[in-house]
Amino acid sequence: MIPITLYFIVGAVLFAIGTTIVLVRRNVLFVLMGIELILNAASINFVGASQGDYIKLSGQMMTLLIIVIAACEAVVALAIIMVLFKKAGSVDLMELKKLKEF
Amino acid sequence: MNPLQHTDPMLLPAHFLHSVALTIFFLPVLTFVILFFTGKHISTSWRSWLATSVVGLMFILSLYVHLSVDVPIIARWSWFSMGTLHMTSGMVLSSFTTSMLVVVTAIALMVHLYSMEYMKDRRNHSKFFPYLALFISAMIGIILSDSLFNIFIFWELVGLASYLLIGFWYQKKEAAAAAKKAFLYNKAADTAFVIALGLIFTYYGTTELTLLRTLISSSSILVPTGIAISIAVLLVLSTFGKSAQFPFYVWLPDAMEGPTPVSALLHAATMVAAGILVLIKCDFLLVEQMRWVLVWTGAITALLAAIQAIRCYDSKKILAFSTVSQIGYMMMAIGTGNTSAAYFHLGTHAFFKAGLFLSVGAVIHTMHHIQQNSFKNKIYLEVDTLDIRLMGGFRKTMPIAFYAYVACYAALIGIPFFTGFLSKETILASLLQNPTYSIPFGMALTTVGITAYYMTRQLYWMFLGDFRLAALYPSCKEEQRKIKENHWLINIPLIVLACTTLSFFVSFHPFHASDIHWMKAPLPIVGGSTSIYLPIASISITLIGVLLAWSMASKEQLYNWKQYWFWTFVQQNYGIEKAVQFVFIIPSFLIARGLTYLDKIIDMWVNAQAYLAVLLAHIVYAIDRFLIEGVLKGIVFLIRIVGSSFRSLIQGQVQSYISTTLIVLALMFWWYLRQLH
Amino acid sequence: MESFGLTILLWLPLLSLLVLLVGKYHQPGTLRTITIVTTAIQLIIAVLLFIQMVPEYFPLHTSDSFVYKDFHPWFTLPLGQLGYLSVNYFVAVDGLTISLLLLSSIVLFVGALVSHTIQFQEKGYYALYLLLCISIPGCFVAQDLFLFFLFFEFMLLPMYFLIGIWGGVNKEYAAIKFFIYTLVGSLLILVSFIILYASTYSPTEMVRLSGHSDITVQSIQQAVMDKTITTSDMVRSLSIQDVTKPTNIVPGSWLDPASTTQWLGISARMWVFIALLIGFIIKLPAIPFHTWLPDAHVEAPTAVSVVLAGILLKIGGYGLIRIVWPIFPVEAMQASTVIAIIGVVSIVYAAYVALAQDDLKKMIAYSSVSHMGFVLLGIASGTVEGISGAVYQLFSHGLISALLFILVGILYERTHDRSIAHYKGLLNKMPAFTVVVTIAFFASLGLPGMSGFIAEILVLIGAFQASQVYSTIPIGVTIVATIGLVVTAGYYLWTLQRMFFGKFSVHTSVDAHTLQDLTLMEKVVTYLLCGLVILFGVLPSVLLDTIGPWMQTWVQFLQQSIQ
Repeated sequence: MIPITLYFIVGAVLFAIGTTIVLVRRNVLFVLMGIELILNAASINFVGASQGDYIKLSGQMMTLLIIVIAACEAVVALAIIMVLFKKAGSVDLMELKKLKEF
Repeated sequence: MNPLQHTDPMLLPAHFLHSVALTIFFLPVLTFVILFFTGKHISTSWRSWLATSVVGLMFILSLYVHLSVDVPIIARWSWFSMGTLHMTSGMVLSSFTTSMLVVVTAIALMVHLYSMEYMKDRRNHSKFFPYLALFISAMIGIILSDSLFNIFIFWELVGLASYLLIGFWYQKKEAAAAAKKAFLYNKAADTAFVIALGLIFTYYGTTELTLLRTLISSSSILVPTGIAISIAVLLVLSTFGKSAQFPFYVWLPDAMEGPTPVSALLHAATMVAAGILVLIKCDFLLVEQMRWVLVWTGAITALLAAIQAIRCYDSKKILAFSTVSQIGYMMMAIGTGNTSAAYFHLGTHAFFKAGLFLSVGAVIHTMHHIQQNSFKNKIYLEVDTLDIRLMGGFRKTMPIAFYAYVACYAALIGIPFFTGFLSKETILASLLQNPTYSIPFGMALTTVGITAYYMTRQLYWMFLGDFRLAALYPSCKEEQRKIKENHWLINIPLIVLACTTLSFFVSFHPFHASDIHWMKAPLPIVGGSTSIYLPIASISITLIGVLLAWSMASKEQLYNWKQYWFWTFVQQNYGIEKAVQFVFIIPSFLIARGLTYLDKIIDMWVNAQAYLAVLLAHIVYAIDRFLIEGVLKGIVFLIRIVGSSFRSLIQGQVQSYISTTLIVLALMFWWYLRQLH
Repeated sequence: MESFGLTILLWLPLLSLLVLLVGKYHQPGTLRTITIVTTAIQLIIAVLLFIQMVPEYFPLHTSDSFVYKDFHPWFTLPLGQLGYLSVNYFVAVDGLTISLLLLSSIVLFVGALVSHTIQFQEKGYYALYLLLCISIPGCFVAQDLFLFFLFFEFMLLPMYFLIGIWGGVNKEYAAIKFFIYTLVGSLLILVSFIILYASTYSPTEMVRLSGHSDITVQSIQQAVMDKTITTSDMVRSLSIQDVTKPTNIVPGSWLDPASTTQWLGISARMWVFIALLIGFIIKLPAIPFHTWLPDAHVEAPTAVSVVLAGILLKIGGYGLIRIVWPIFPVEAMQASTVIAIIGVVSIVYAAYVALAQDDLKKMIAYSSVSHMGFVLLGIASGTVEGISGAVYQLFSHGLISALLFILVGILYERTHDRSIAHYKGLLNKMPAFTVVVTIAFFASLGLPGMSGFIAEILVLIGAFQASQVYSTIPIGVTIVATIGLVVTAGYYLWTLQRMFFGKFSVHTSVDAHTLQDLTLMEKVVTYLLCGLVILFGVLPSVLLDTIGPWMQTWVQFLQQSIQ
């Protein structure tokens, strides 16, 4: 049996990589991928945490839910990115400052 | 609270004669109304004839009333009432009042006849006869009234009529000013009448003279001596205004701005006579303690006015001064208690003074015509047609005017066989009887001489010698030849009035007025000259005056005579007007101006209140605006500062939001962990 | 049935007001005709009431002393500790009222006739004028102080707008000044009325409202004396009849003569008297509360000046005679010397100020103040002559000042210039106008044969008598008043001389061609007023015989009260 700590380590590494990508990359698509990584990190943690739970398999269930939500989220996000590209002509986050009030 | 004295007069029914007398009173009122409202719609001659015939009718009715009246009869009506208090108006018909009625209507008739011609082509003619009617009607009111209250009403109306007539030629500045002056001097004196009326009403409870006489003679009402004296003094003061006595007489010379017939009426019968008439009527109110005031004022006025006439060149003003002087005699007579003498002189004076004015007016009329004719010939003579220096020589050209003048002149200066002599003697005699009045007697005797002097001077310059206007302005030579006797309407009054100055007209005794037959002895004449020396003295003084004037007049420098300060002073009415100006008029205007400023100050105070209220409102508004609203705004401002300071950290980048969120989350997590330990 | 006329007189303008407001009138002059007809009917009714009035003697302010009564209960208001306020619609006419009712009808009629100078917003003008036609007669006939105050306030408001909208150059200032001055006065009056309410009760109203036959006035008075009726159970009424009865004062209240309540050493009764006095004196007006008058008169349009001088000032005098003196007779007699002095100062002061004026209208306005001083002097004298003179002065000044303001209006309408110095010798251009002006001036300066003379001489006689009867007015004070007569003669004659006599010339700012003589309409109005002035000057009996008994009962009441 694989010790639970290893799951968490992998999850933490994945989360750190994902967060770094989200914060550092300028392209929206990469940011989206970073988010996916973070979600995956969460999935691994869930799976690892439900090691002894053979009857309910709640960790696995949650992971499946996350995958579905991630897929939906990706669809919506990609649609927004496409509209964004059409309107602003760019997917560079340094140029997209519309959220600023003034 | 003292009980109020209220004597409710008994109402008395009117006799037939009262109705006649009322008709005499109301006829001119009717004339006034008709002529005033028809105005220019009826012709001049119609207007004149209507007015004159009405006055003629009045004269006949007056004669009838006078001859019918035997004992005094009184009628009394209720005029108005305030609850149970009745204001009555009474009418008394006695031989005294009716004879005065005859005198007034007779002179009014003469003046009317005269005015028909004299005023014919004058300006503003449509107003002349109505005003005259008003004048006469008011005077008749004074004569007939038995109530002092009513007398005061007519007294003021006489003032109004004189105001209108003196200012008759209103385009002339001097006329308007003279009218105002006359009215104001009279009004000032009339306030004394008002006060007297109030005091009489308060202390006796009635103003009916007949009742007052019985109340006072029976001593049924005790009035404090001070009040009785005040009433007497006030009454006398008020008559000083109307009868032109010192110091109120200055309005009378100026009043000569009115037409000459008006002057004749005003001096003879209506205005100045009113004061004497009222004093005679109220004789019982004049307490002994103040009678000397009358004597002295009369003497001073007589002398001062006579002196003023000496150097006067205005033909009418000379006569005006002589009137003032003669009224002074009447005042003296009333002062000595001899009211009948005053009344006698009033009657005789009325006729000869009217005659004098009308005959002088005839000359002025001629002079005026000469001026008018030269205007027509485009020769503008800017001369004063009243100036005696420009007259002369009318004895030959206008004999009727001349002889009328001479007759009246003789009466005025007191030549025997003329009425004036008789009446003046009576007054002098009554002055002589009281040894305390020796100085006034001396003044009166001096005035006799001065009167003779200035009248002779006027006679000389007006009627004798050459026509000096023609000498000065050769262009008038042509006109001089055309001078002829005036129209008969002017001459008839002159002849009639001249006849009435003859002494047999009133008394058969040439030196003594004991037997007044024609006038039906309205008042018993007492104290006629008893001593033979008095007539001799006065006649000789008169003669001296006449001779002096005769010798001086031919030598008098008419134009460039030396002006001594004394004569300047005399000509300025002894500075009375200046004194009035400095004592009353200028202070009045100063007070008026001062009070106007005071009013402005009151106004400023009121406005200041308003401004203060507005200021307070602004202060409250400011508090509201800056304090309460300021606190609110401060809070909002603070929040805004905090918000914007944080907002500046975020540049609108998604990633910066995320990182901030993460940092905060991390911090929260860290804080949570610390809490656990 | 006899009160029917009174009701019509009072409320007819309301009907006209509705007609005026509802309809649309394009024809010029229709609105004016409606107003003239309304006021003419009012005048006819007032004259009929006057003719039918029989002079009789009844004690002052008893129900018998009123004729043409109209009494309707209105409402009763419970006021807790202060008992019940019973307000009635009580209008009636007596000797004093009939003279002023007659005057107000004449002046309102004349005012309507001369309203043709109003050129804009006619509907508003005539509506407000008709409102005045209700409130002014209402003020005189109201016998309940509540009703009186209501009418009184309703008179101020239209006046404010009439001056403020249709006035001259400085109209806003004049209107607001008038309004605030009068409002201060009515505030004092209101406070006094409230104190009066708190200090009196009405046994007759209690009997009427209780409805029991066994309750009588005597039993209620006894109960109040025994204090079995508490103050919260008392019915109080502000009816003049009730408040003037000394027996109706609640024992121990402020206005109880036995009360020792003092403030600054002056009794409460005296304070209320002073407050009421000042309230009405502002309206009269007397020195030093007079400065609203010249401004208001000068700025107001002709018709409003006429109404203002002709009637509104009279309400001050009316209030003093009707309300102040009967309620506080003792205090009034105590203060009469001071009041007489205020009157005399008004006479002389205003006469002098008028002498210094260059504006003709301002001069006449000040002469109004001067003449109203006679009213104060007459009332202060407390004698039959004095009070008759005062009432006669109210009446006569109403006519004369109306005439004078109309004449000034006529001149102003032609040239828009009222400066005395700008005219000379107007007699040559406008003879009829000059004749009327001369009559008006002589009437105003108190020439015998005109109504002003009777009034002034009666007041002076009354004032002299007061020195003898009550020892209140020193003779010297009255003598000073006669100076006013001379000064008045002075400024009028001076004005006549300056403006009307001499050769004709006008200032360059005046267009001489506009100086037309009187039109037919103006002749009718001015001759009518001249005729009335002379009629009431020659035959004072027309008015005084009718109102005389009332004057006498008034003085009797006063004398009984101070004994």
